[in-house]
Amino acid sequence: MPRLCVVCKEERASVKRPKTGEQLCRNCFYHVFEIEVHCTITDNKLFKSGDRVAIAASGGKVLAHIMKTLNDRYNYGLDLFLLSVDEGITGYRDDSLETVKRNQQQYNLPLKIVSYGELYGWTMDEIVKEVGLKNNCTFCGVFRRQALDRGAVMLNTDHIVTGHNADDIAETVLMNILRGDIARLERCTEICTTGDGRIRRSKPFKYAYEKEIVMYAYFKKLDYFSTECVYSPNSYRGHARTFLKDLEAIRPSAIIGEAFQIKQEVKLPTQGVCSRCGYMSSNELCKACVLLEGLNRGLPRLGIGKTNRLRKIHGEMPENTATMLHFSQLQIDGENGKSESDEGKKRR
Amino acid sequence: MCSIEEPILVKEQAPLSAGKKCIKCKIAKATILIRYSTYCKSCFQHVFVGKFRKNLEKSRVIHSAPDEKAMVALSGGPSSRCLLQLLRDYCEPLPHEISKKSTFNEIKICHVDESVAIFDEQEKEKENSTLCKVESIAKKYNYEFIGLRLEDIFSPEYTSSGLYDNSLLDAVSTLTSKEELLWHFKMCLLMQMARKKGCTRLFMGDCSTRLSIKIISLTSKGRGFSLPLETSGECNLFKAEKHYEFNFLLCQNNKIVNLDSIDVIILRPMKDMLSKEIGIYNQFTGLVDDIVITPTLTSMMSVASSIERLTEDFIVGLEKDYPSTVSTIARTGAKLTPSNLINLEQSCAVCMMPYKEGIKNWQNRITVHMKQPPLAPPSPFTSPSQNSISMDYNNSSCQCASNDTLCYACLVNMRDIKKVVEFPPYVADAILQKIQKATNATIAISPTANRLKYKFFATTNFNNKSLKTDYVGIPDTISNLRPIKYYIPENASPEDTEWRLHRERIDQFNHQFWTSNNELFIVEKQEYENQLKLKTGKKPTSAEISIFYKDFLDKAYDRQMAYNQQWWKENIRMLLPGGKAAIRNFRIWMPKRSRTRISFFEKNASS
Repeated sequence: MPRLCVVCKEERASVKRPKTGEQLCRNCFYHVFEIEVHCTITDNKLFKSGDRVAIAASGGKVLAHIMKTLNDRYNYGLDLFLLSVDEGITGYRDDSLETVKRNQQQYNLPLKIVSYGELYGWTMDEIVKEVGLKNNCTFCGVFRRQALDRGAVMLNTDHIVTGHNADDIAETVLMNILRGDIARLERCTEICTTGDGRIRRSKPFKYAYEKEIVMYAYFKKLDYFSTECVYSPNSYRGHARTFLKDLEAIRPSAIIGEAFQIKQEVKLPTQGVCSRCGYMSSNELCKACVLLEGLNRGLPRLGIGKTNRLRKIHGEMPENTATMLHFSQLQIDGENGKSESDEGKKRR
Repeated sequence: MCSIEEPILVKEQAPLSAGKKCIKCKIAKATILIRYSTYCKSCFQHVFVGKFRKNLEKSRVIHSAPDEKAMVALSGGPSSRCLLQLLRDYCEPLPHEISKKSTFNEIKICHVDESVAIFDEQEKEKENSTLCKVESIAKKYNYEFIGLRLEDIFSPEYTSSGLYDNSLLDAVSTLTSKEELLWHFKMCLLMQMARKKGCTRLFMGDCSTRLSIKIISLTSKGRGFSLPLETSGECNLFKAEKHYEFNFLLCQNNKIVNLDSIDVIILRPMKDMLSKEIGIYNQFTGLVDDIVITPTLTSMMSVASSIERLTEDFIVGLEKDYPSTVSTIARTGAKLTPSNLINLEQSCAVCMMPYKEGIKNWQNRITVHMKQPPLAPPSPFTSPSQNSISMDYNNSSCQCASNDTLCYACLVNMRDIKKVVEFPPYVADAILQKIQKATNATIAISPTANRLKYKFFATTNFNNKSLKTDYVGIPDTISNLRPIKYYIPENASPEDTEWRLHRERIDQFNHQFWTSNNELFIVEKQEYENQLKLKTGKKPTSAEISIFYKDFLDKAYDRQMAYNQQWWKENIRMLLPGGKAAIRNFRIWMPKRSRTRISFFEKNASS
């Protein structure tokens, strides 16, 4: 006997939800999934009407699709933009960038691509050549974070939404426990982080399972990119990831459970601003500046554990080293931004 | 190419300790490698004992009250075995160290035997019970030994049968939840016993390896909230005022003991020792032969059998490659403090830990089950799969939603319980207290019956509305009647409802009669036996008791007769609503049947 969908009780069930094990029909699955994201957004009051929001779309289309659908359906009144980062990893990013470009036309959203090469003068491929396969993720992570913020400033937006899902958050929680990073452990579960009041970041998929996102993409025929980065196979994170997958197999709710916990810590470093580039930072110099300095001076170990010793040996940074543009000097893409806001007005 | 005989080529690594000197005395050759440090035998022992002392003395509670009683939780495993030895050495110094005066007035040893939950009925022989083995260890010390069995959680009356415990654990479908429940019961037993014996300090033998496993697994189970309380070296969560869970002991043997006045502080002085260090120390001091290996639920199971087991494997594996894993995790855990959002006054009925309120709402918001979007947080919202807890207490049954009484992790565990099961009395007691607090009403507790009558059912589908058919529960402990929850059809006619209500009323009547009757019987029998004992000094024989039976029945004749008459009357009265309902249902059913027949004929005709 075919089972009926537990929500509408009319259609035949065709999906078994990873989150609950319930059997749903396709339409109800879409509905339920969208509603959950909607609830997350409204409960946490992520947006105000009239916000200009950049969607950090690496390759997965689900976030862009959902944000657009919900914005239209529930009248959030948002101006949406697509924002992509080009790390310059051949075989990993170029494909997904193609689809992002295709997507731009499909959803009629303005797109901005910021590349490592443009911002820092180094692509990831070049960095790996310099640094080797160990620790390269440090560079990529630090640079991407800042690249997104810079891109958002260029688009003149005040909010970035990222596609981090419950699995990602659970993984980060686990990593931070394993590493003993208390400050991050507290921060990483927050749904919305504010950097210096400038650009807010939020994760509307915080309570969505990776599996469900993939299923959603699959059924809706959206492109979903889950290519593992070519440089990432044997990282410490990999261990945590396998552990988490095993956990999910034992008890699916473990993922949400992890994302749910809240902790409080005694001492937290105060967040300041980097003296060189004006980006928020806990230290005098932000990590990206230190790493970039290391790269430009041919001291790739700078910023990875040996900073002080290397500084003692090699002295402070010489004047002529290339640095990033200061944050306040970033040009808002005048032309681009204008035409987009015009477009936004037209749409309304 | 790839034959089995082919030797596996592994680069032989020179052992780290080879040819090195002990980092402590810098004279003797190092024989032991702990993480990155090398020690010689005597220095290692010195450092190890020093660590223990430092941990003990660091905590203020040791000094604050010199005349406290302490209890050591002894599972018999390496860690707790070592703890016992170290604690003895600490409290009873050698004659030449007389300046170190003894800290505790008295030390007791407590062991909880879990074998009932792990082995089947047939296997439950003497050799599987850890109780006697542990007792033989404890005899080497002149401390009082208290042996408990897991089934004691169902109050002393049930000790012999052990049946109730198994029925609960059998109903749990996943090992993870089972392990969790076992742990909570064990903790409850230990706390209860510590209070009963007046011990204000409870020593646990958790080592840092165990603690880091616990930190990760508790996080995975959604217990991030109470994690700091469950893994810290010193936990004084179990404060006096709020400990109403143990109220039920008040009336035990009609003796009023105010157990709530006792604070119990849990201490974990082994929290900085790796399991490797403990193993080596035990080897050196000869404790290694004195260890009881307790099988657990996941022994001999696959790695992925439970969260706890998986985590253990994960941590131990990581520790092999990255030797600092355990200490990093343990130190991270030690830095955590409970969140401000936690209401310490509220604690979960099952795990006794504080929790955050409004979990159900949050869950409903992030996991939608319905076509309509759920309501905003403050308004109540019930989803079809909501758990409910029903309590049967002194004939007045009350229902309460489980989200008011349980923490998130326990709610998740409850999902794995598929049947109606009975929980230990302490759970029911905690829930009752909560209801009382919430409604400001006091429910009278009769001292004779309270222990027998606590019942706490947890089930996924206990609401009548969500039942698919009539639901028959396990027999009541006193009335011996099986409770029935009747199925309510969605389109119940007034006749149906009347019929159901009538039946429910009669069930209630039967239940009341047999409860009072059996209560009386138990009390009188007890009295009779006591009298006989006083006279003869022996246990009464069955022949002597049969006299009592006859007596009792004779005395109860009128009462019984009245009941029977009432019962007959009710039976006849039931005919009317029953008949009505049957006729109506027949009428509804009739046209349907004829309709199908017509279609059948039509089909025939067409063919």
